[in-house]
This record gives sequence, C-alpha cells and structure tokens, in this order.
Amino acid sequence: MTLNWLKALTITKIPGLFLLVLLSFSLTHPLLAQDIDLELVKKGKDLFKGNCAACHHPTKDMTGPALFGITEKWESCASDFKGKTGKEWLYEWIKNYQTALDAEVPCATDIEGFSPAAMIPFLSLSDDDIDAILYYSDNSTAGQEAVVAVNEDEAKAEEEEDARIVNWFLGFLVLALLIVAFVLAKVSDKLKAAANEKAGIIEEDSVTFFKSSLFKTLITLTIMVFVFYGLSSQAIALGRQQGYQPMQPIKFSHALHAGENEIDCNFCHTGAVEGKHSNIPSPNMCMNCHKMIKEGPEHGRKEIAKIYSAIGFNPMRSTYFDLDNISEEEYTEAFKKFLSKDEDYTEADLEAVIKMFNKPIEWVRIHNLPDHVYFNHSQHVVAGNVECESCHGDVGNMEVVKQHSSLSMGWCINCHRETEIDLGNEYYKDFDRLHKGATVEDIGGTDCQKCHY
Amino acid sequence: MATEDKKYWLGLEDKEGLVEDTSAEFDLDHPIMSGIENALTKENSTRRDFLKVLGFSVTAAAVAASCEMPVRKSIPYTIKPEEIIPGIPNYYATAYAKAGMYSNFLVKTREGRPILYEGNSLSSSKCGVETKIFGTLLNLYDDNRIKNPLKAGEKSSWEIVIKEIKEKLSSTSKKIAFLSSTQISPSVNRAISSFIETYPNTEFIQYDAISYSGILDANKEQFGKRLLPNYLLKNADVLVGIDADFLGSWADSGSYEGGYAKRRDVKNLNRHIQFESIPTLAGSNADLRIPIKPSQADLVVLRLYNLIAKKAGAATISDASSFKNNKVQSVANELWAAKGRSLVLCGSNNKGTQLIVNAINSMLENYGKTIDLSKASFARQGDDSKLNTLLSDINAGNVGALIVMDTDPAYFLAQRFTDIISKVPLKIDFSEKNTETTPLVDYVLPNHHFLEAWNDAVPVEGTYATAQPTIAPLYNTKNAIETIMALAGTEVEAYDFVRETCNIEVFDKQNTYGSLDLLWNNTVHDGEIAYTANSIELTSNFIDLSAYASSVLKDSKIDGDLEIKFYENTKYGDGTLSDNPWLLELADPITRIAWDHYIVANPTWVEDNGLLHNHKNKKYKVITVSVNDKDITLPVVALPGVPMGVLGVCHGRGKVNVAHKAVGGGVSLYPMVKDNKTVYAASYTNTGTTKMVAITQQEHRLEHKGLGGEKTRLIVKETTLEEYEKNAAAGNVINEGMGWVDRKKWVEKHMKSLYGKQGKEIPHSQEYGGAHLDKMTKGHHWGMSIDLNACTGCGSCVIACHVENNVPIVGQDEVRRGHDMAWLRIDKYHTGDQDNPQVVFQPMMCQHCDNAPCENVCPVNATNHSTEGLNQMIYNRCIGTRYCANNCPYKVRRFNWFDYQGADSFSADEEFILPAIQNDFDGDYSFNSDENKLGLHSSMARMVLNPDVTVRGRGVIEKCSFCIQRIQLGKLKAKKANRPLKEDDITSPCYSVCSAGAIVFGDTNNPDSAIRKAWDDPRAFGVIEEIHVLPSVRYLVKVRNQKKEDYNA
Repeated sequence: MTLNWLKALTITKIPGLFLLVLLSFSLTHPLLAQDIDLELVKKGKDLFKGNCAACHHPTKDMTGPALFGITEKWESCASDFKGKTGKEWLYEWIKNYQTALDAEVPCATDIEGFSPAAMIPFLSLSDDDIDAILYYSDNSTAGQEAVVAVNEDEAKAEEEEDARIVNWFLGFLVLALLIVAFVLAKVSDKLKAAANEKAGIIEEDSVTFFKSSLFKTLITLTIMVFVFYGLSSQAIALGRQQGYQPMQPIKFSHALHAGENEIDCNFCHTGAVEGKHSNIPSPNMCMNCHKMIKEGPEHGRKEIAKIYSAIGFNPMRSTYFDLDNISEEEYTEAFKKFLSKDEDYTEADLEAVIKMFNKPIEWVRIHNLPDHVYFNHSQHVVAGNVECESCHGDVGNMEVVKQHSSLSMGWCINCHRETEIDLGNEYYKDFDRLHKGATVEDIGGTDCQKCHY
Repeated sequence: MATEDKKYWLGLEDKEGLVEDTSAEFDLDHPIMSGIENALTKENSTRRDFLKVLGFSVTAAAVAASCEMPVRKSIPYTIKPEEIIPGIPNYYATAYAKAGMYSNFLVKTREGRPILYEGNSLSSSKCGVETKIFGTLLNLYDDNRIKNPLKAGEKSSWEIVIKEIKEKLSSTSKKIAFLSSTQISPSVNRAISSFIETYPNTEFIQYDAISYSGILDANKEQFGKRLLPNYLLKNADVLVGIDADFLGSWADSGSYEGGYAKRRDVKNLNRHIQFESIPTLAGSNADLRIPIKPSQADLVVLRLYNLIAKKAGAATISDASSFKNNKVQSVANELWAAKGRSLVLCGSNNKGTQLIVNAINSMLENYGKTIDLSKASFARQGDDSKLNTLLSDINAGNVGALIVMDTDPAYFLAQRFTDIISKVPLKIDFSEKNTETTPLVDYVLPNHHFLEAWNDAVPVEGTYATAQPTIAPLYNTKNAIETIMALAGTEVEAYDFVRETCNIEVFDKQNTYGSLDLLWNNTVHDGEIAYTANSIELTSNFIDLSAYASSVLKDSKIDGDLEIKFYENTKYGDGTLSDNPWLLELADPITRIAWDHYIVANPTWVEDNGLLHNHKNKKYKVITVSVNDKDITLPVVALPGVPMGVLGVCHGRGKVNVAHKAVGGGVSLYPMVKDNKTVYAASYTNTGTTKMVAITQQEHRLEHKGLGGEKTRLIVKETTLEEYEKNAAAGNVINEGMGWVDRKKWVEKHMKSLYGKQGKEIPHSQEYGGAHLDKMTKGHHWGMSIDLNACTGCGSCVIACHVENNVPIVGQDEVRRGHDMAWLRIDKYHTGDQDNPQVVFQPMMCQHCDNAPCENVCPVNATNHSTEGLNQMIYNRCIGTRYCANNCPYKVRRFNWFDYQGADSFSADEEFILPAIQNDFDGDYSFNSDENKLGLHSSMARMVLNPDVTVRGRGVIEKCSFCIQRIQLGKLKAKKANRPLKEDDITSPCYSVCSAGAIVFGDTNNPDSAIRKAWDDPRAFGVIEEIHVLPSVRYLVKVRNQKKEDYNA
C-alpha cells in the first residue's frame, strides 16, 4: 500500500511542484520608465552624426557652438522677427544660413565667439529632420545618454542573469529528481525485500544495480570522459583569447572612426595591404587629421592630447615642439592650457598626458598568434580579397576593440577549405587543373608549411 | 678512370672505399656514448627520482596551464620612417673593405636591423659574399664591442678624449705614427692626409698581417710601382697556381672566385694545375694537383722558368738540381702551348721568386691578357720595410704617439710590438671591439661597426664603391673618418665627407651621370660605379734574374727533415675576423674541423710516428712542435694530401682578449713568424696526451651499398673532359641490378618496371619529377640543382643558410658529439692515393624526396609532403622520436638536443637549463658570457634572428626547408601583382651568396626555367637515386679537365 501511495505521489505531485517552482522564477522584471522619446532620439542621433557632428557637439563648443538649448535660444531672440517665429528662423538658418544672415536675424549675425560664415547649408534636411536633431541635442546630453545606455546594459545583464538562474534551476532539478529516483529505488528494494521476507521467500544475494560493477564502471567512465574532455578542450584553448578586450593607453574609438566616420581600415592600418603586419598607425599618421581635429565627442581633449604629447605637438600653437631643446615646464604649460578648456579637466588628465611625452605609444596587442605560426595580412587582404570584418568582426561598432575570432587552427583551416580562390588572378593562368569553385585547399592551402615554418 | 671504378673515401679509416662499420653503431668509444655512460654510471636513477620528475612535470604543467596570458604590447614608431613597412625587408648595398678583404653585397634589414647579407648583382666585381666576411654581421651585435670611448680602460666622453688627445698630439715633437692595415678607402686616406697636414710629423704606415711585400716589391722593381696586378682568371685557359690559395685567402682572393667559376663551366673549361703543399681550396678544385713541400714552391718557379726559357730562347738561371719533380716539364709544355692564354700565380713572399714569376708570365705573353696592370688591385699595400723602421723607431724612443686603426698589432706583430709599446707615450686605438691591443693603449676611440658607418672603397683601379649605414649606431661610437678629422681640427659629418670624396675621385672620370646628386644616389644605390681608371705610369726595368735566383735558392733552404707551413685557411684568413661563432662553427672545407685548432700532417707520417688518432672517439694525439725556438702544442690531424715531412697549421686562432674562451682557443702563430716567411724548420715531441677534436668528416655518412651488399651506389659522379666531349652523359651511370648502364636508360627501365606493367605510361613526361605530379598537372614543383664543377667548397652558402634560417650555433662540445645543426653541409669525398687524393665537394641538404622515407616513419605526421613537392617539417607537431633522422638516407635531419637559442617560452626554464648544459657538457658555445647567457640567448645577439622563421626549441627535428619562407613570399609577390610567377621572384640565400653560381633553384614544372634546363642536362643525377626516393635535388656530374697521365705515378 505504502508503495502505491509513494508511486502516486511521484507521478502526480512532483511535476506539479516543479511547475509551481518554475512559475515562481519566471517573474518578469519591470521596465524602467522612460521620459524621453527614444525613437526620436535615435533618429536625431543618426542625422546629427551624419550631418552635424563634424562641427557641433550637443553640449560642447567645437568649430560650431554647442547645440544644447539652441531652440529655446532662437525662440527667445528671434520670436516674431520679420513675421516668422524663432523656430522657423532656426529651420531657415540650418537649411540655408545665408537667408537668415541676409535677414539679419540677431541669433545668426551675432553668435558669441563664432563666425557665422563657418555654417554650411543643409538643404536636404526636412523640418522633421531638424526637429529630430534638435530633440536629440536637447535630450541626448551625455548624462541622459548614459542613462539610456545603463538601462540597456542593465536590461541585458538581467536577461543574462535570468538565463543563468534558469540554467541553475534546471540543473538543480535534474539533481533533485535523480536523488528522488535513487531514494525511490532504494525504498522499492527495501519494501520488496521486506515483502519477500514476509512471504518467506529467501532471496539469493542479489547485487543491486547501483552497487553493480557495471554501474561503477559506467560512472567512472562518464566522469573520465567529462574530465578528459574538459581538460583537453581547456588545454587546446590555452593561449587563445577570443573576446579579449584590454584597456588601451588611449581611449581610441573604432566605433567613431571606422563606424560613424567610415574611415577605411587600410587608411590607417597601411601595412595590411603591404606585408604581414597590419600595423598600428604611428602618431604621425594620426596627425594627418588630428592636426585640425583637436577635440573628440566623447572624451574632449584629454585623449587626443595624448597623441600630441607622444609626438611632441603643441596644440595651442599648432606647431611641433623642438624636442631637442624643450623644458618640461614648457610643454606641461602648453598641455595644461589646452586641456583646461575641457569642462571636466582634472590634474590627473594632465599627468596622464605628460607621462606620454615624446614616447612611443604602448598599445596592448589584442590578436596574438603563437610564434610558430606565420600569418601574412597582405596575403589575405590583397591576394585573397578577404574583408577585414570576416576575421576581426564588426570593428565599426566596437568602442574598445576585442578579439572577435578564436584564431584557432581549426578556424583557419575551415576557412581555407571553404573559401574559393580568385581564378581571375593571372597567377593561376597555368594551373590547368583548377576549375571554377576551387578553394584555397585545392592550391595547397592546408599544407602544414603554408603557415608553419 | 671511369666513375664506376673509383673508390671514394671520407677519411683514413676507409681509404679502401667507404666502410660501413656496423659494429660501431653502439660503440661505447664514441663521444656521445661516453656521455651517456657517464650519466648512467654516475647517477643512480631511483624510483624516488622518477616520482620527483613525474611530480615536477605534473606541477609544471598545472602551473603552466593556470598561467595568465602575458600582456603583449604593440608599439608603433612615433614617426614612422617612410621606407620602413613592418614585416617587409629593406635591402641596402654596402661594402666591407678592411684588412685586404673587400666584398660588395646587399644587407637585408628588417625594421632597421641587419639580418642577412646577400649577393649584389649590380656590383661589377662579383656577386657573392666571401665566407670570412659573413661573420661581421654577428659581430655587430657582439657584446665584445667597445661601447664608449675609453681612457686608460675607463669609460670617458668624446669631448674629453678628443680634447686631451689633440693637446697631447700638438705638444709632441717626436714622430706620430698612424698604423693601419691596408686602407682602400679614399675617404679614410683623405682624412689621414688632412691629419698629416695638421701634424706634419705624422707618418702613415700600412701593413698586412700576412705579408705581401714580396709580390708588391717585385712589381715595384720591375714596373716602378708597388702594386698587386689584377688577375683575369676568366681569360686563362691554363691556370697554374704554386702554393697560392687564390680561392681561399691568397692576395685579393675574394675577387678571383667569380672569374674562376666562369672557366669551370664545362662548355668553357680551363685547365687548372696546382702545385701545393698543404691542401687548400685551390688545390682541391684543380684538375691536377701536384704535391710539393712548402719549401719547394720557389724551386718549382725556378725550374718552370728554365723550362719555359729554353722554349722562349731566353737565358736560364741557376736551379736546384736536387729538386726532382717529373710533372714540371709537362706543366711547362702546357703553359707554352697556351701562350697568352695562361697564368702563373705564386704564393711565395720572396721578392726574387715573384720577379721570376713575372718573367715567366712575361715570356708567356700573359701581360695585358690575363694580367691587368692598368686596373691594379689595392687589396694589399702593406710595406714591411716601413713597419720595421717604425718598430725600431719605437724601440729607440723616437715615436711620440701611435694611432692604430683597423688592425690588431699586439696580435699580428706579437712580441715585436708588445715588448716595446710601453716606450710610446701616447697610444690610441680606433678598434671597434676588444682586441689584444686595446688593453695596451691609453685611449680607445671606438669606430662604428662598418654596418653603422658611411665609408667608401676603391678595391681596384677604376671601381669606386660606397658603404652606407644600415642601422643607427648601437653604442656611443664614432666613425673613424670623423674621429681623424676631429683630431685634425675639423668637425665633419662622415656622410658629407664621403660624398665629397666621391665628387673628387669619381665625378670627372665618368660620363654616366651629369650631376653629383645623380652620381652619388646611384652609386649608393648600386654599391659600385666604374670610372675611367687613373693611368698608372709603369716603367719596364731590367731585372738581373740570375742574382735573384741564387738568393731564392739560398732563402728557400730549410734545415732538417721536418718543415712546418703557416697557412691561411678559408674561414679565418689572417685572423682579423676569426673570433666569430659562425665562422668557428663552420666545418673547415678541407679538414672538416670546427672550433678546434690543430696541426695537419701526412697520414703515413702520422702512422709511422705512432700519432694516429682514434677515429671512434675523435681523440687526437697532442704534439708539441718547436718552431723558431717557440712551441706550438696542438692535436695532430692526419690530412690526406699533406706531403711527407710537412706539418701545417693555420693562422687566426689563439686570441686572448675575447668574450669567451671558446672563441679564443688554439695557438697564435704570429709570435713564431720570422722574416715574414711562411715555412720554417720544425721539430716535434709527442706529449703523450690526447684531445678531442670537433671533426665532422665521419658524421652523417651516406650508405652506398647496392643490391647484394656491394658498394655500387654512387654518391658523387665524375668524368673527364675528354669523355664528356664524346658523350655528354659520360660518368652518369647507375648499377642496380643491370650492371653499369647510363642513368637515362636505367630510369626508363626502372620506371617501366614500376608503372609499365599496368599498361600505363610513365606518369609524366619529365622522366620523374615527383610522384604527386599526377595530381598536380600544372602547379609548382620546387627543385634544386648543384653543379659539382662550379662548387669550390668555400662554405659561404653554409653560413648564409645558418643566418637565414636561424640555425643554432651549438659549440665545440656539441660538434664533437656530432650534434652540429647545419642544414646545409659540404661533404668532402676523396679518391685515389691518400698522399695526393682528388677531392670532390658535395653540398648536401634535405633532398625533398618525393617518396621520402622520413615521412613514412613519423608517428605523429610531423613531417609530410606538400602539394608543391616539399618535404615539410612541422616543428610544433614534432615530438622528437628522431625516427625520421634515422631513416633519412642523406643524413640531413638535425635534432635540437638542447634549447640552443632560447626558444623556450618560459624564461625561468632557461636559468634552470643553461647552467646545467654549461656544467655537465662544458657548453662552449657562448660568446656573450657577460650576461651569463649562451649564444643566441643574449638579447643583443637575438637581433640577428630572422623574424620570418621559427626559432626552434628543444626536442624537435629540423632540416632544410628549401627556404619555404621565401617561396611563399615570392608567390605572394606574384599573386599581389596579378601575374604569373617569375623566376627571380624566389631566390634562396645559398644561391644568392654563391659567387661561383653553383646552385640553381626554381620551379621544375616551368619548362622555361633554369632549373628545368639544369635537370634535363645529361649530367644531372640524384644522389643514390637507386633507392627510389625521388630526390628533388640534382647534381651535375663533375667534369675534370684531366689527362690520362695526370694521376699515373
């Protein structure tokens, strides 16, 4: 009887219990309330980056003035000026600044500290577009953006946390069920034995399944398989750094340069088409642009100043220091003056900049191959026509670069097996046997000594 | 004698033909076995030891596994030089021109570090790199360099030393002596001239460590000018050398090999006869080598003169009637028959002898044809009489200051200099490294290494060469030109100064370039420029030969039965550059000995006197030879070819002030040199002791037993010109189950027996070039060919291979154990009489067999075949079973017994392992003992490593890769340019440094390529190809211009 009861409980109650517990975990997290129109901010941000970011920043003065609160300003200064509202004049100014200048709108003719002539006409922008840009400028101050970012991150982190908890729970459940099953089997054995004893049946010494050598062997083997699998996969992966994303000495953003500004990878990493190394550009390469662009959208002057410091450039005078005859005070003074234009300037920033003066920049290398592997960038980029992104991932969206691929041998070989070669290359003219669709493997791309020598 | 009847032997042990002594396979006398035996007997390995080791390795593995990955930095240039692209080498033409050596070559630099020398095809004189000079690359990174100006041995500053020296120089009223080796740099000479203007009491004295005054003074007497003629070997149909190793180190040896190799081409073969005492490269390559005692060289010249004078109808001179040599007459006949197309060279430093040689050449009408006086060589200008005057002046206290440049007088002049040097109040040395002289001087003003400096050279009249820096100065050194000028009172920049010299010396004498800018830029780019030679005014003076003849007879007399010759060998020369690990590790081409210093002697003499070595444990008897009242104690090595009653010992060793004892070692011969002679009477005593010698001749032997155990497989093949002209495939025979047949016939039959039965045709039209070609109808198949006729055995390819491929230096002890790591070695085979054997040099490297025996036996597939016919060796897969090395029929695979160059990624291991090597095995291969690091473990020396080639760690096999890194780069170059592969896209360093052009490398599937043509040559054969390994290296049968009577008693 007892047995039957227990059986009934197992069959009916346990799944119910399970469902109950499961339900208790599947609580949804309340979303944080948003008081800004994210959609509009996003649209505005895209337009802003595409059209305005070269000269304007929402909160900082650059080549042009900061755009935060600009609508209010125009509305107050040009309200009902020559029959148009301030907002209308602002549209006019942005679309074709000359009209506003000709009409001598006070906000246009007199911008404190800036020359109105530096404005550029944007005839393609609609009023809605301009609204979006202005909305973004007003609502996307660094702080608010951070809030949005943080919210996104938190949501993401919580999602991950949820998934982890569910995994743990399922694991726990499996364990619990196993224990229950074990207990039940035990109980059933005992009961059977008791029943047999009662019935006077003398049972032979039977070995239960759990005590049997088969079970022990199975358990041992299973554990061994898991341990060896774990060990070997860990050992094979030793030295691999997929996802490696170290801090760099300068907060250089690929998202800004390669992503938003769409600068071609090879523009800076010139070595990739020439030779084996895709070299990190030297500061003199940075200076091609940053001689003019002295302030960034995220970090202001303090990160760009590090380039100036490394190469010995005086940003206040736009000339290079005479490195042979310069005193520490002199350049410290220059950088102090330059950096103090930043709102959030601190002494620590200055110290960090000065520390790098006239020294090569020590970037942290992210993609490392073992010494016994030969890899040539130009082979892949020029001869193989491989896109940078296929190995390095979506660098255009990486604020801080991380290693996208595993760079394991299996990963390399796999690509060599699948990638077709460019038979149009004159080099293969005499390779009669190659047919359309020939892969790198067909020209010996999986020979050991293609990479190991 | 046909090839098949010849018996080839490596050493005395098997002079009856190569011995396959299987009993020696596990011979406990073998040096390596003794090491193992020691380890077995000394240390009792117990269970506890085993557990300790086990525990250690498990822990080490665990620790290694839990280690965090190190953070690696990637540091770009702050301002990237335009011409440097990381990962892409730059090549700069530069010239080495010091101490009688001149070579113009390309320096390969990577990210500003010179890492290799390669031949410069734009240089007019030649396009190889001389063996001796190769070591200078490593010297750049040597810790033994002087890093700052020194005052009394202490570090000082340039301002102080220049100021002090200037004061002292201007205050001395005594003579100022400027002592240098032969200076061929016009800029240095110009600087010295302005120095002399400032200090008129200065005398500039040049001397050569090995004197060439004899030949220079002879020409002075005859032509009114001290000069070394330019010998045009390429015009000489009959070339007779008399104890002059013009391929090794005699006179301007670097410039002769190219011209000589042109005439060793079978289509244009000259006749080379060499009278020779100690075997040298020249004699080993000769068609007829006539052994003489060193003291007989002058007698040969006298006899030859008389025999030719008789034909020419000139007066004869006195002759040594006691001298008997039946070959001289036939040599004279041959010379006379080739009048105007012959050349006689003599290595004697006797002025009289050289005058008689001049007379012989003049009777043979060779002047203007094979001897060019108008474009004289400046390689040797040393003047012994001036030097002797200087030494006596110093002794008399008449010298107020001595400036030493590009020479080491304390080593070369020995006690003649060291005994009296203290009498000079001011002694200055410009040496760039520690030498025997530097501790004796008051000031050392270190010169730049030549790779850091602007300089120039005029090696022969009519050729101007520039040397440009290839790296910024590593230490606080100063270009000697600048130093001399600063002492003379003018601060100059070496660049401006050399450019100005170019303007003065060359600009008006050439029509190619219209402006100095063009001239200068192109000269620096090409390395050399030819200009209209300054005319040398020559007189023709009457020489009283008979008077000289009797003095020659008197001078050449040696008292006693035993004579000793001090000779220069190929790799050390006079010793200027000998303290270099690369040169030391190179097995001497003649003796095949690395590192050790030794005396060579006639094998029979050695045996008769009970001095024979034990070839199994390489222990050689040490003897003490007494020469000029001084002793030389060295092991004696029986060398086939040395005449009876003659001992030979080479210059260049015995330096004391070196970075490591192994780099020094040996005995300096300069203290025994007397009257600038090279031959002296000697007597010897047996010390009764023995010394192990690092000889490689018997290591890595090839099996040449054919079917049925007969020694029928030919490793080298030879024929005579006579036979070759009848049949281009003469000598190219195989005996494998068919009797001796032509190789072509054998290959056809062999392939038919393999593939024909199935009714198939031979797999591919090109007899066999690779079994895989079925699959690869078109594509690449890499192959090499080596012309045994062109190869002189000099060994520069061996060093080039070491440098390109990061081949480790293993040191004396390891070489003694047979652990040398050379990927490319030059085997030396003898035939014939052991007193005068004929020699064949055979460069041997991985043959990249298409049916490779090594590939089948590797348990982990670490060596396998590529689709392009390469036998690949994958270091990271190798577990070190060495099965492949054992199964290699060519014995070209090398095992890393130790971490020879710090490849171990755990630096802590190094500290643990290195002292162990040093203590247990007395590892002598350090040349950077300062840092207590061995060989390429030193961070400075590691700058020479090629970044494109893996630095191998302990426990893996390595071997020639056909320079796969260059093949890949060449292919990539073509692919990037969207064009088919061109032949010159891929060159191997062994090919590029060979001035004889013996090596051809390329794609054998390309029907138009030079390699295909070489492979299809009837002379081409594969070494022991009977075993069907399908080697990808083919050798061309050696053709000697030999006559039947040459080697018949």
